[in-house]
Amino acid sequence: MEQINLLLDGLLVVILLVTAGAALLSGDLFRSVVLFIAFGLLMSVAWVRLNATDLAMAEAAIGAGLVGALLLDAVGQIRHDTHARELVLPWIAGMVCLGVLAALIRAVLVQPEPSGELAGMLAASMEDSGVTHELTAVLLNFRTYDTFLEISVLIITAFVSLALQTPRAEPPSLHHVSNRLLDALIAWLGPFMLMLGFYLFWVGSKEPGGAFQAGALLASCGVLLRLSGVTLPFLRSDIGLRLWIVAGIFVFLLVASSGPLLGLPLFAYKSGAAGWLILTIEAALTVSIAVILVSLFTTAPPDADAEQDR
Amino acid sequence: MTPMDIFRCFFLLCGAGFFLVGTIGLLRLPDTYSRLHALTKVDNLGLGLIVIGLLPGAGNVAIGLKLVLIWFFALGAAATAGHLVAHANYYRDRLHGGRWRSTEDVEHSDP
Repeated sequence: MEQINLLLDGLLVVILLVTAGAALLSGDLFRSVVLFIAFGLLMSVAWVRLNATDLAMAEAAIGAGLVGALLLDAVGQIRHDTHARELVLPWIAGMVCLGVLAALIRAVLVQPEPSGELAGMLAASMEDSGVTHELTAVLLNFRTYDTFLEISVLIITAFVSLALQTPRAEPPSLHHVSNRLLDALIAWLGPFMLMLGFYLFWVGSKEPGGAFQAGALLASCGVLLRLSGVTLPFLRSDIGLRLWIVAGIFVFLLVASSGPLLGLPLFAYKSGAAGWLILTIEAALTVSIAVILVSLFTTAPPDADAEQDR
Repeated sequence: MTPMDIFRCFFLLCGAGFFLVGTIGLLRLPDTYSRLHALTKVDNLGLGLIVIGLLPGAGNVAIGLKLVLIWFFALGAAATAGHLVAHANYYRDRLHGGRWRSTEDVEHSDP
């Protein structure tokens, strides 16, 4: 049985490398993007093999799904296939990547002895954490500051993409597809996707799930709605969009500062209320992440006449 | 090897076989419309067989129902995506002269 596992994992590694190489070396941009999406899915399988189910879900939703959709959109807007490649930059990038690869290989092979204390400490503190899933406990209770920085990075991304948005007419690739089958699919699946997003957020306290995965799922739902021509009103108004984007970090800061008000350090939760506070933070984060990821996709409002209202 | 193991192996192998046939069809069939047949019908049948092979190993009825639900969602998504691709291809073919052409014609005559 061990040999079969090793064989399958080795096959997965080989397929990952082949897909990545094919995506980079393909002459056609569209083919590269499709191979990149396939690579994202295979990477998700690799995460499952490494027992990181939360990461697998995030990779499938964001890495393969949303980033794939963004890249396809970008490829659609490129008018001609630029075959004139630079000569120096790829080599420098390749050298840097090889250096990082060497450092990673060394880090994996020359690991220091894991001191079993950390796992013991984690298991002992799980009762006070308010949740039963270790990853959520670490992300949102013991190392909340890291999650706070993650959401800050996402907000900076959203604002950069908003700043780069140029007021122009709707590019053809964002014209919606008018298709009865797609409308029917959305009418049937839309509620399911919303429910699944809520379920992923809710179940994050005891199983793989949580704010990022739920937000990514809701963002894909938003992208699907956008592509089929359903206008999302809260994404079009200036103030509304920005309020939704910062809602997550605002609630996060509110809950984090509830610690100092009670004499505890920053980011510490009142004992006994940790579960509810984590749920509150995750709810706000889910909404914010969903809106941020959808706003990355929508560079212009669907109707051209909305431009004149500004 | 209990009979249940043989049952599961049989269905998993059949499902994998259908996926293989679907991929061969995707690579070898001449144009987009026939490739869509291979992708949507054959691949989804393979997925259904794999789900049947996985059902006995599901812990409880809820997980089994979720597996079947995944198959239904994949069916719906594949059907819609196939329809969209066929539509887009049809309109692109109409732009190029209004008649159906196989992929070899398109690849040889496009600039």
